[in-house]
Amino acid sequence: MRWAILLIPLLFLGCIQNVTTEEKTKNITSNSTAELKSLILRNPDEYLYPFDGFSYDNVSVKVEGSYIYVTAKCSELEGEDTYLFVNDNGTLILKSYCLEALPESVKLEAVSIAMSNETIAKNANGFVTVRRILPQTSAKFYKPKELFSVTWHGSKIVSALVDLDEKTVVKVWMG
Amino acid sequence: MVRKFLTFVKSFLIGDTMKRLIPLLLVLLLPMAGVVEIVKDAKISYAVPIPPPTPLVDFKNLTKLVILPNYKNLRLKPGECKSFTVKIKNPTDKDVLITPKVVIRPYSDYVVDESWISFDRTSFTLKAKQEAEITVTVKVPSDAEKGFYYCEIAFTNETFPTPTPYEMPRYINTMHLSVEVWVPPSVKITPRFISDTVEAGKTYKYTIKIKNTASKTFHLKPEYTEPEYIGDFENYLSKDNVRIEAPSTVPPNSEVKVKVKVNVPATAKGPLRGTIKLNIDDPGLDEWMQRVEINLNVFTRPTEPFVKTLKIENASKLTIKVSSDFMGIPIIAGKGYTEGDFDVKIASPNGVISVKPKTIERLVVTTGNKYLPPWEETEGIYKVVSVSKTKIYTIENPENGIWRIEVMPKNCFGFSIEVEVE
Repeated sequence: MRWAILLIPLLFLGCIQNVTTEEKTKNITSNSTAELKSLILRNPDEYLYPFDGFSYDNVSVKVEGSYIYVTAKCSELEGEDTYLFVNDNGTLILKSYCLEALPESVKLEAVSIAMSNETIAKNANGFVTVRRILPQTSAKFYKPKELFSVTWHGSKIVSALVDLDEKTVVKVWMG
Repeated sequence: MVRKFLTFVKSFLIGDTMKRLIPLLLVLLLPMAGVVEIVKDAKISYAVPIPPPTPLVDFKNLTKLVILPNYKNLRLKPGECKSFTVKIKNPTDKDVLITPKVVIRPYSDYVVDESWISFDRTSFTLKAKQEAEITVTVKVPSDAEKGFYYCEIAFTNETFPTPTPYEMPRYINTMHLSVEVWVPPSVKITPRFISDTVEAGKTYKYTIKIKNTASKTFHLKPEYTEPEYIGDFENYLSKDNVRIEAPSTVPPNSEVKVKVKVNVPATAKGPLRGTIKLNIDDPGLDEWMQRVEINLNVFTRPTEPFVKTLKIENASKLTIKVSSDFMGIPIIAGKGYTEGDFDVKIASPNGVISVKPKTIERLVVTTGNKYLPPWEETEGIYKVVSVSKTKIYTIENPENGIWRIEVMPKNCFGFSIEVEVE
């Protein structure tokens, strides 16, 4: 309780930065969702998060109310990245995402690192998906850095959160 | 009378009488038990009162400081250096002399050498109810071996009083330090996971690429090993079924290929697992990092088609729906999903007929993340979780008699047949 009381003024002073909020939002002057759509189409790399070293060359945006659905592809990569933004009074907030546009070698390496975990090795069956996890999400589970979610959709759903730099499984989840 | 006897027995067993009699009984009985020598040497004293045990350590007088953190783990490469701050709080009413030092437990396999660690403050007095910070710097020598190193850091000289003088001193105000020394690998291995759907009795070839990014040559000696963990109903590939061909070295800045030939036994069924250990002498690669896991799913194609017969009597329409389900066939994300397929043959009482089917592809799509890990924030985004193909054959005014439907699966583990007669 005492900690909470101490934290409140600190937050107002800006001493604590919320990494998640900072990276998830983009302040845009326009309130129009349609204008936001055209902004994303004009500068996709500014609002989207392509895999490091690649750029999107095929972006489509669909607007539904305050929701903005973006699908983005890179001709050099298999798979597709999908983003769901919300227009919150002119602020573009990334609500959810599914990033599967990855080089094949990255997918295979992520899968092999995941398989080095005993729990994963014992329970992995069915088909596997490799999805990129953005730093703002990773911060909640490990560190604010890009990680990879390797998930097996079989008789059990098992997933490993993989740090490719450190070549380690940082978290394991079983559904 | 009985009560008096019982009272006597009770007082005899638990009273002083028993204590006095025990040594006497020992003197009388032990020679009979063949331990005369021992008894002769022993000095027996009678009725020595045993004093109540006194506490060995007076915990109330210990000066316990608060050390934050009391555990630290660092991951450093040989030659790397890292510092961290330790906060020491003195909640007691007396001043305490702080003299940080490294304490090594001799039973640890890898111990942090004292020379690795330095402190920005080596001796100072921490006043009562005050707190202070010490910066601890860990420098790993460039020739340090890979491994997990451990030590304690004691901040005062005070130790727990111990009953025996030869024990190692146990310092009161300590923190634990663990240093993982790691070496970045120079060799890259792809893939490290071979996943495939295979047919029993067939041979499959796979290639593993070994890329050396360093300017020195590494040696490799791949070997196949049966899996370490096998579930109750799991199967594995035996050594006889796997043949590996590889060069013995990986020259500097080059890539070599390890060729793996897997003979799937004709009797194999279900999942087949195994591991290839590459045994590369790259110090950056741990044993587990140079394993290639084999995970095959055996699909045994039936030799004969499945047959369904039905009797038609005065029907105006016969509709046959055959549907596949791809669940269970492993696929890698990004390559798209694979729908199962099958061959269907329909025979009327007069012979096989040719009917062009209507094809329906069925996708199961989710939008939530109920069945996904919490780090996949995919709420509101479509994800295909299964796909199946349905072929619909419609025959108008089918002939009376016995009809025969034959279904031969091509790349699916199962299918469903639905027959509708109108």
